[in-house]
Amino acid sequence: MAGIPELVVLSLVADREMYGYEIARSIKTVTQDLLSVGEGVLYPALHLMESRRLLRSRSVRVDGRTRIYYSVTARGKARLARLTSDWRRMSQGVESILGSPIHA
Amino acid sequence: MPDHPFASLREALLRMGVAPRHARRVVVELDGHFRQLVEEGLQRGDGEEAARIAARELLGTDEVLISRYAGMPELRAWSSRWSAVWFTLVPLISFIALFVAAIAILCLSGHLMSAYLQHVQVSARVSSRIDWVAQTLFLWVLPMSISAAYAVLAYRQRAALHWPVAGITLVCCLVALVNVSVVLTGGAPPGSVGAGIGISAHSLPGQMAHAMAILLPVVGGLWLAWRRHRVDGAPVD
Repeated sequence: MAGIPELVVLSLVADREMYGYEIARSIKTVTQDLLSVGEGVLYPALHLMESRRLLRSRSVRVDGRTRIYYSVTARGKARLARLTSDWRRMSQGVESILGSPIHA
Repeated sequence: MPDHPFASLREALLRMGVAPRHARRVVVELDGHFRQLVEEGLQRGDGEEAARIAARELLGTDEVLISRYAGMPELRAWSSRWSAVWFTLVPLISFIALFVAAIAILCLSGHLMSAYLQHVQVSARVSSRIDWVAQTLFLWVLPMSISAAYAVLAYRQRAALHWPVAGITLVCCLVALVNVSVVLTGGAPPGSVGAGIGISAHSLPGQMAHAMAILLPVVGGLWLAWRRHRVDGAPVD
């Protein structure tokens, strides 16, 4: 479960580069508020992923404000593939347990 | 509510050792995020104050953010993780390395230009000027620049004063013991470059004055800047 925020962020940013506010909004919209993240704590997570070279960032000036856009690196894509496969395997396992009769 | 709701967050992050680039950036990002949330609230029909309060709540308190950074040692500055080494040994090593490198470059340049320099005659006055410039660069400009650079780094990191002051003092003591001479006469051989280290009762007052002349302005500047950021007398650590 520890890799879920990382998985969510990487999969969102894999499609196109996004900045923090956009990522927070996308998480809300895509998950229809099922996943809620403290919007502020998104930033330390983004910085950590960047320091692990999973993300890269660039600064853009928009309407007098600085936005930091994040995109996925090659290492981030590999990490995303691994986390996605781990997640699918785990959710499949849980699904099969929930779907099977309970044994004594 | 203040106009800059994250002003204190940056200071808190720097004090806990978060690298200045992360501390600066998170404030820029949070500020932009906050403003967009406020605009969103206003579009929904909230009042200005209600929109600001809701936006701040959505972003979380400073304490939550600080605790999140506390759990991420990778985002801490090297200078904060290895404070003693970074602020005492690294300035000293930097000075020695740059000093030796500059002497080596001078010797190499002299060697490469020896064919040309053999045909040049340098007057005693010009030769003495060259020596004076070299001594100024090696024994004043270089140590002062290194000391000032580490003082700025310590200030940016809001580091406790003791290690940077110790490091700057070491550099100043070393430079006071060092002597250098660059003699360019032309002809064959075209000159000489010499450097040495030593102490004597005769030269001690001058050496101490030399050390203090570099130490005092740099440490004084650092102390004044550090005082500006002290909160309620608590040491910055």
